[in-house]
This record gives sequence, C-alpha cells and structure tokens, in this order.
Amino acid sequence: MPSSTELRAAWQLQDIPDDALADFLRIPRTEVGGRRAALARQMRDPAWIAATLEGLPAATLVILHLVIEAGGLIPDDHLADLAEPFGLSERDCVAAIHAAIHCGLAVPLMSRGQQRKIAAVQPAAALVAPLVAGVDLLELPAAELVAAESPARNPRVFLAVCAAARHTEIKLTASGLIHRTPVKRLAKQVGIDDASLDALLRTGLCVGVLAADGEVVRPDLAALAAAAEGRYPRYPALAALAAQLGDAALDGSSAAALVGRSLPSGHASLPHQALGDLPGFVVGTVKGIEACRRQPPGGAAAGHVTPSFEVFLPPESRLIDVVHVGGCCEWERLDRAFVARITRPSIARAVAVGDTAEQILARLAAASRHPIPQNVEAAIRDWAGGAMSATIATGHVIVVDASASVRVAPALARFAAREVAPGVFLVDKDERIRDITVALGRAGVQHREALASGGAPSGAAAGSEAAPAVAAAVAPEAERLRARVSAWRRGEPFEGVRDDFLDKHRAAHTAPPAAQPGDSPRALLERWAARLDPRARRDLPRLAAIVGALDLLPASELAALLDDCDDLDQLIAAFARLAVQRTRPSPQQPSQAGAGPRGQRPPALLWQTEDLRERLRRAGQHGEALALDLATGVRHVEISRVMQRGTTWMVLGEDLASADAVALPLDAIRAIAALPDDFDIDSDALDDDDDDEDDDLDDDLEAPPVRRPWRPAEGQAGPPGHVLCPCGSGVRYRSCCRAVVTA
Amino acid sequence: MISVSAEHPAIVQGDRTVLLEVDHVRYEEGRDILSRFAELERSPEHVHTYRLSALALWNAAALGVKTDEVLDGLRAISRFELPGHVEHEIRDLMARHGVCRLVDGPDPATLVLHVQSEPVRLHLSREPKLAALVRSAGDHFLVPVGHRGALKRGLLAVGYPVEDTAGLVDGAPLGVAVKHDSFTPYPYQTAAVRAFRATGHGVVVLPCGAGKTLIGVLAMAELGTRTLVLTSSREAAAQWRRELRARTWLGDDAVAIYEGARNAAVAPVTITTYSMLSKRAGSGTTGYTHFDRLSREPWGLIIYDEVHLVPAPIFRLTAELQARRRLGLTATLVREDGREHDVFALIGPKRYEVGWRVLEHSGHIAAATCFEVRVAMPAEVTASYAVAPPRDQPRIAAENPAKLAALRALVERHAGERILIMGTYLESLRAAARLVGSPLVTGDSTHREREAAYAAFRSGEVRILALSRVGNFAIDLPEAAVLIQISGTMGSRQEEAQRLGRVLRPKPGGASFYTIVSRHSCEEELALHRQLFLTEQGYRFFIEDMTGPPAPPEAAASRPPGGSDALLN
Repeated sequence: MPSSTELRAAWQLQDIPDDALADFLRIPRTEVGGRRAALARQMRDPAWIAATLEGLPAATLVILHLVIEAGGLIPDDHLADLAEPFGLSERDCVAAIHAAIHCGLAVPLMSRGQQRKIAAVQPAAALVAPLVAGVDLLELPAAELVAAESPARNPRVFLAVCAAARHTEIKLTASGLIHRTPVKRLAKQVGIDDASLDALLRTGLCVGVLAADGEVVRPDLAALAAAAEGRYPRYPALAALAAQLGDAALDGSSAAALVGRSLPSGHASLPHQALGDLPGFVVGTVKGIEACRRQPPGGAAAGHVTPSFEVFLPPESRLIDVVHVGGCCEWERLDRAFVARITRPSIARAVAVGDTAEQILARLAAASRHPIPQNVEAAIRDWAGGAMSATIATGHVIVVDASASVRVAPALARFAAREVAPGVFLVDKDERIRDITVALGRAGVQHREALASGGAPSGAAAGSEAAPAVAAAVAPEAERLRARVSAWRRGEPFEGVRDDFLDKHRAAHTAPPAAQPGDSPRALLERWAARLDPRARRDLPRLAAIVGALDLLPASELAALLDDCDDLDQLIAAFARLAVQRTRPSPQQPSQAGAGPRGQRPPALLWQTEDLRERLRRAGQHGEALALDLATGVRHVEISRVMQRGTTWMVLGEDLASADAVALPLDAIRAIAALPDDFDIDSDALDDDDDDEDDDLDDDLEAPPVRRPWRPAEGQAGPPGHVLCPCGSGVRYRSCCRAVVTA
Repeated sequence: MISVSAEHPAIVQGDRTVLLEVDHVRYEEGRDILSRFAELERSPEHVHTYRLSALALWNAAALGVKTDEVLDGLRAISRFELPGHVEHEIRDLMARHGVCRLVDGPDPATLVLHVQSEPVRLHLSREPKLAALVRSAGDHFLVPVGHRGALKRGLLAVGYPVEDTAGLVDGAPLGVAVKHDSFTPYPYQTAAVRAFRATGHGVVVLPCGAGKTLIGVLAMAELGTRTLVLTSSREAAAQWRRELRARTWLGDDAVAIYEGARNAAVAPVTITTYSMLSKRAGSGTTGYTHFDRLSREPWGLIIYDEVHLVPAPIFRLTAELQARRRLGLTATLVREDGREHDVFALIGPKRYEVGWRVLEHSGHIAAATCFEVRVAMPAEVTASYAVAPPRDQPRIAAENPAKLAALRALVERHAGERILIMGTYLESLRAAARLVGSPLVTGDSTHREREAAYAAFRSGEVRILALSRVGNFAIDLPEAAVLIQISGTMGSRQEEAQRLGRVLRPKPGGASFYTIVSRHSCEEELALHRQLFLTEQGYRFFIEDMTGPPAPPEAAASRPPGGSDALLN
C-alpha cells in the first residue's frame, strides 16, 4: 500500500452485533451466524474483495478510499467535506456509504459526543486499502494537458538555483528558515524574483536536493543529478507519485494528496504548487482542471562554451547539463537561455567537493555543442590544479554506503552527526562508540569494523542495501478501479458502461413525488406502488399492518421514505429498520470501543435484563412506554398490565408504532428499557427529509431531538391518547408527547 | 515554454538581451535585423549577445525605425514569444524618443524645446539644475544656445533623449578634394560616412586597422567645411596630418597641428590633442585657454578620434560645441569609467558599427591569432612576490625576468617578421629591448626620436620595435605582424584591444598577438579580464605554457644601454 496510513481505527467484523450485521447485510437475523463466518472468510480472500469492489459504484469506492485514508474511521461531516471535491453531496455520500455497508465493508458508528462516524471493517479493510488507494487520483487525458510554465519557476530554474547554492552562501536562521539577504542577492544576480527563488530553495530543501550544512545550505549534486532525471531518492513520495502517474495525467489536488500520504515520517510535506518546479513532472490544466503528468527528461547537448568563459544553455539543453554547469559555474542569468560564467572561485568550489578538472571538463563538453575552447580548458586545468581544500575535524567517523545515508542520518540525529560527505558522518568525540553502534544497529546497520586510527576507514559499515523507498507496484485491480473512478469523475463510461448509481439516486431525489396538501399517506403509497412495483400495489391490502404503520407518518416523511425504496422488498426492509430503532441492548456495542479510552459509553437506553416482571408491573401501573427487546426486534409498547395466564406471564399493552393491542409472553422479552422523556417514535423512526437515510448510520437508539415535546399547562390534564398531539406532529398524543408527561 | 520554434535563430531574454546563434542557418538574417535597433554587446564565436538598450532603441528611433518594426523584427527571429514586459519596455522606451524636441528658436542665440509629456514638463520646471537651463514660454521652453549640451545631458539622465533638430553651424567652407586615384574607400567606410552625414553627429565604431582616419577624411570631404580634429597623442596628430596629405589635395598650409605655446597655428584643418585642449590656463570664458582660442574658430566639423579616451573636461567643453557637427571615431566604445551616456548625449549616438570578426572574415583587417604565454616565476621572484604588498605585486609579476626568455623564444619563432614589443613597466621593457636589440619608444622619447623609430620600422630598417604605453593608440605601423605584450596596465580591456589593433592592418599570413603572463600571479586574473573584450569580439586566446626552466636572462639584460632608449641599436 503506497500509504503511510495505518488502519488502526478500522472496525473488526466480530465486533458487529448480530442484529446490526443482519440489518447491514439485509438478511434475517437467523442467518447472521452463518453469514458472519462466511464473510470473515471472504474478507480475507483478495479475489472476493476485488470482485466486491468491482461491483460497487465508483462513488462508494471513493468513500471507501476516504475512510481508509483517514485510518479506517472518519466522522460523517468530515467525510462529507472530503467527498465534496469528488462532486459528492451529503446525500450522495449517504447513498454511496449504504452500498459499502450492505456488502459489509463499512459500518456506521456513533461516538460518545453524538458524532456519527463511518468505519472500515477488518479484515477486509487491509485488502481493500491498496485497491482503493489511488481512486482519488482523477486520471485525465495527458495529451490535453496545457502546461502552465512560469519563467521563474520551472524545473530548469529549480535545478539551476539549487546548484547555485554551491557558489552562494545561503544561510539558515536558527529556526531553519532561509535568510532573506542571500536570497535577494542571488535573485538579483540571476534575474528572477526573490519570492520565487525562496520558494525554489525551500522546495529543494524539502525534496532533499539541498541540505543544511551547519548554518548554510549546500546542494547535493548527486541528488540534483538524480532529480534532473526525475528521480528523488531522498523524497520517495515523489517516486510513489511517478509510479501512480504512469503515462496519464492526474488532477493536481489528488496528486498532492498522494504525495502527502506517501511521505515517510520525518519528511516535510511538499507544497502543492511546488510540483511544477520539479523535473520529471509538468503541471497545467486539462479542461480547466489543475493537473500534472510525468515529463521524461529530454533535450540535447545544446549549450555553448565560449572563449570568454561564458556558458550558454538554451532551453532545449538537457536538465542534467543545468546541474553540471551549475556545479562549476556561476549563473549570470536564469532566463529562457541560461547564462553562466566559469570563474576561478567556481572551479575551486567544485574541486573542493571532490570534482577533478577532467570531470569538470567532461561535463562541460557533454553540455556543449562544440569543443571547449583551448583557453578555457587550460584555465580550468590550471585552476583545478591550484585549488586545494582541507577539512579538519575530530570525532568519530561513521562511513556507510552513500545510498544508506537516508537510513543512517535519522539514527545518528541524536548525536548531532554531521554528514561531511555522502555517506560519511562525523559524531562528536565525546559520544560513546557503544551508543553509536547501538543506534546504528537499530537502524539496521551493523557495525562491522572500527576505523583505523589514522582516520582512514578500513572497512565500511553495512547498510549499503538500504535503498530509497519507492512505491509498491500498483496492482492491476487497483489500476482498474482507479481508471473506473476517474472515468466516473470525468463523466465518461468505463469500458462502455456508465456508472449511473448516483444519477439514479439523484434523479429520485430531485423529483420526489410532491406531497400535495390533499394527499393522504395512503394515496402516496398507492401512487408509489403504481409507479414502481405493480406487485406492491397488488399486495398492499395484504400488507395492512405496514400500510397502517406508514399511514401514521407525515406525508412528507413518507414521501422521502418511498423515494429510497424501489420495490416492495426494500420498503419492507426500510420499515423493518424503523422497527429496529437504532439500538441494541448488547454490551458489545460497536461504538463503545471507539468511544474513548475507557471503551464504555452509557447507552442511550438503560437496558434491563433482570427483574423484568416487577419492572413491567410497575410500568403497567403508570401506563409507561417501554422498549422491549424481542427476538424479532425491538418494539415500543405502552404497558397496561402484566398478568399470568396459566403458567405463562403475559405483558399487555399497545404497540406505539402500529397502535395495535399486543400481548407478549414475558419469556420472549430479553430486555427492557425506559424510553426517554422526549422519546418520539415518529422522529426516531424516520428522521426529517435531509436525514432520511442517516438512520442506518447510527448504531444505537440515540438520535438528536428534533423538537421539544409538548407539555400540558401546569394543573391541567393532557388530552386523550387517541387524539392528535397538540405539538403538531400529526400523530396521536399517546404516541407523541404523552410519555413525557407520564414520566 | 511558449511557441518553441527551432527555426528561429535568436532567444530574447527578459533582461532585453538577445542571444543570436552564429551557427544557425538564419544567422545573417537575424544579424541584419538586430543591427537596426540593438547593440552588439558580445560576439564570441558561437553566440552573439545583443542588447536592446535604451540608447540603441533611441538610436533606432532617431534613424526612423518604428516600434512595430522593432517588435516585428524580433518576432521574426525569436525562437519564443517575446516576454511581455520586454515588449512593454520597448514600446515605452521608443515612445520616449521625440517627447523632447529641440528646434531652432526665434533668434540665433535661442533654441526652442518642445516637450510633449506633462510629467517631463513638470520635471523640467521644478528640477533646479534643469530649470536653470530653460525658460518657460507657454507650451514650450526657450533654451539659450550655450545650454544646448547641458540640457541634452540632463534630460537623458532622467530617461528622455532630446531629438536635436536644431540647425547646426555650417562653419567656414573648405574644399577638401580626395585623391580618388590613390585609393578607393571600402564599402563600410562609405556607409559609415553616409550614416554620419544623415544627422551630422554621432559615433562610428570600427576595429583598429579598419581605416577610421579615412572615414574622418571622407566626412570632411563630404561636408566641405573647416574641421578640428582632436586626438589622443601628438603621434596620432602627426598621423592624421600624414593621412590628410596622402589622401587629399589639401596643401601644407591647410593642415596644422596646434601645439599651444610651441605652435599655436590654426589652419582650416587643425589637429590637436585632448590634453592640449583641456589645459587650464588663461582668463577665457571657460578657463581653458586653448579651448577658448580654438572655439572661436568657425569650425563646421569636430572629429573626436579615439572617442573612448575623451577626458571628462572635454565632455564639459564639448557641451559648448553642440552647434557644430561632431564625429566620434573609436574601435572600442568601452569606457572603464562608464561614461558611454556622455558620449551618446554630447557627441552623438552610435551611427555605424562593424564587428571585428566581420571585417576579418571579409579581409579588411588581418586575421589575428591570440596567445597567452605563461611563464613561471623564478623562486626568488616568487618569494618577493609573495611578501610584497598587493599594490606592488603586479609590477613584480610584470617584471618577471623569465618573461625575457619567453620573449626571445617568440622572437626566434617569428624570425623575419616585423615585431612590436609592448609593455607598461619600463624596466622590463628596457631589458626586453636590450635582449632583442630593438629601439625603444617611451613617453620620455622626443617626438623626433619617436618619428625616427617609427620610420625605421616602417622602412624595415629595424625589424623589432619596443613601445611603452605611448604605442597603445593611434600609431599606424601597418607592417607589424607580431605583437608581444610583456606587461599591461592592470586589467584594461581597452588597452588589450587597442594593442591588438596595432597589428590588424591587412597582410598576408595574418597577425599574431602574444601576451606573456607570469604563472600563479595576479597577472593571470588581469590577463583574463583584459582579454574579455577581445574574446567577446570573437577572438580566441590560446594558452601556451612556457614554464620550463627559464634561460638566464642576465646576459642580455645586463648589457649596458647605448644612447637613448629610442636609439638603442
């Protein structure tokens, strides 16, 4: 997985209660046991995961990506924010989440702070993560990318400026920022604005082509040369991006996000706009969308070295030539054509870091279209021969392979080690060798042999195998998912098939059956049945209980509920979900583990499992409404009395949802819970229009109050239970605010 | 980048420089376009650098080139779209030309300055130095004739060139007939005269040996007026007189060298030196007695030879001579004091220029090969060099006795050729002259001694001639084919170019130019700087190492001098 994100907050399948799982998977509760076992096996099967993802809408893949990106758990509102750039509204998110929930890849949770969250489900999440890791990358046609190149900020100038740090003393402040004075001086020297120059230098520091050497910035010419080829060994996140990009173009924000999530710990994040500065990438727009794509380094040896010691690099010259020329010359002008001058000090500086006259000449010759003039060649040989440098330092010298520097540098950071040359670190002599050895060992570098007393290393420490991290290869399935999501985001069919999941969903919501003032709920129901499912119309008389229950709903809420259902089965399931009432009397509620360090959060309803008879008896005395946990689900019943029939204790009362008289065996009741004072079966069963689908997201009965309950004036009796509640809810008083009064 | 087209030979940079690829198939087209409005700054062998400087653009505007012609020309040769700000700057600069226009006034003592820009008008009224030069008269300003030059300088300093269309004094007529049977002017000489004639003031830039004196002569003949020629030295003055006699039918009495107290004769064509003109004495209007004396004459043309050497007082005095036609001649319009703007404002803009290498390719000047010969310093010299204060180090390095051995080797290498040996430090120069047995001309040599030495060299009586800095300028020794420079004046680019010019008269076999430099000394850096102008003109310097054990020069150097420096042998 090309991501640094750990799925530490993902939810375990075994922690999902049976009832919830049955609801999520839309299966009878009796089948949950078998299905859970099967699902656990399937969730470890990559083929099943791939097939399942293949069957999901693109929007759902995006949601899964965002959930996993967030570590496996994400607040609902945050998810909506993140999904917005993908063109997903809150309603779209809900619809997309449902698809993931119904296949068991995600679960809705509720935090203690009443915040709804979505969690990925393990063990599937571990396999889903790499497959959806790149779906946020909006693939765009690379050929249509219109490059947006800035004269002051482009890869050539970037390389030149970084190389110029060899010849200009660019100092850092105590807080690690770049001093403005040398930046201004260099900017004036080369003819670009200091803000751009500062940004380029910061980008160089970020991607590791520049490094702090004490209080000054020094270029790493090897890293710069690699950068000229589009490689960033000290910043592997760009390798991840390059691997993801392939030959396509990606939208800029998701590319930046990919770079961000591919960052190993300790690496500074790359500013979004800095990508266009870097060789190997080109930024621009595709149909108005900010985008980037790979730009293989090209060019030819097009430079000129003149007898007047000037070097001209026209725009078509190679990037590597910019690095090489910048390493041994001082820039005079960074414009369309770069102009540099070979000077004695510039040659001396190149020699000081190990370059020889032959190397310098070879690089200049490689950059030049013509042979180097004889006077220039002679001068360089002369100057290089005359330049000598020495560094005197005392301390412990640690020598590793240059490629292992990335690994070793952090390990030696606590010793304030200084990298005096690639792969050569200097640690203060007061540090204990034992401590250094231990630190190296922790970094995976074995101390092989001590340095000779003369200072010359007699053997190098191990660790040369340490290679810069690069992105793992992208699986074909992941590529396919990414392409599918990109096609969906572009509004194009993928392999001839258009992903119209959200279109259908939106169409249903944008044209809801208008609830006319004169429409009764029954009329709405009949119209829905006539429109979608003739079978439902035919069966409506048979489903009198459901029809009766639905008849209790306000017309607008019923209309919203009907919008979400395409057939009678869905309607029955939706109605069943109303009955579930969002909570379970289970001690292993899914939300508990994620609720906080103590892991326990007081349930909204205090379920009682013992002394039920006595409690029910008292409830019957007061006509109290209770939630009863039955094997078939939870029912809300206004208890009228508890009585014994033969050997069986029966609980009598009225079902608040259906208004039917009920007689329930006491043994069938597994737990009871008092409903809160402000309990409103209508609002609990069906949220308002905007949240009509969110009810599935909650994993307990807790729901935010939608209105204050009506109370009779002090000293006055409430209205009879069968009349409409004075609060204006449109339902009967006993089903509405009476519970508050009685409580 | 935008609109890349490799078919075009030039790259227009953001700092208004234009890089022109010499190897490009459309190089000549690009060169011709740029030469109309851009200034050739450097011309090394592969890439020539032009600058769209304000002066160059104003020069172009003065010659009638329109802004759109400049932009279209640039677009025609530019590989990329023009940088937006460059186009804006060109339009802005070109628009400034003509804002201030100087025309004849109501009376001969007054000129009229028309200013089309209200900000400039305000500036002119409020800036004390400028306001003192003009008098507001409604929508224009009245300018006393005497302030003509100062006003032009002042307005140029604030970025507005004055289009000076006020009449020029014709001067007393003088018929100058050219001996057309004895020579035919080269086309570039005719073109230069034509360019100058168009406005009556300006500078012609041609390489040494390209015949600048002849251009002066042709200009005199073209204008037919009395002429004052200002030169850098008495030898140059003599050379002008020689040239005038050789190329024209002017009689002896028509040409005079003004030498102050010694010879205060003034003729229709009078030749004098800058130093003579800038001698402060007398109670005249300017305080410069000879200037006051000469400025009373009815000159119709003033020729500034080696205009890059014009000293600061002459600029001030030249401001007084704005009503006369002015022709500047130089090979290197490079002033180490950066006063090119004064040349532009007071003498005139550059009217004509031909590159050194262009004339070399066309055979009008000799093809020169330049060498830098490096010699080691003996141990004792190295030691004394190391402990010497920095101001003495150049002299110690220049007087490195090992140079004499190298000199001898070079003289032997060019046996049979006429050789000039030039240096700045007299001790080493005397030693060199003794070593090779040549006459030596220094500042102490009398005029007669100098002329005798030059005549002997021209006639072939002596093959080698040693010259101090007096030989830097305006010495016409066309037979010289080799020049060996054993020391120079610090890092002067101008001196290097002028010395090279001594051997550039066309000759079969070309010319060789050697600079002997002490290794591991400041001379290496100075030589690098000195060579800059020539390398930018397209000359290649070859480095030759002669660091082998130097032959003991004592034998030659210890030879006792016989007679004066000039007549050593």
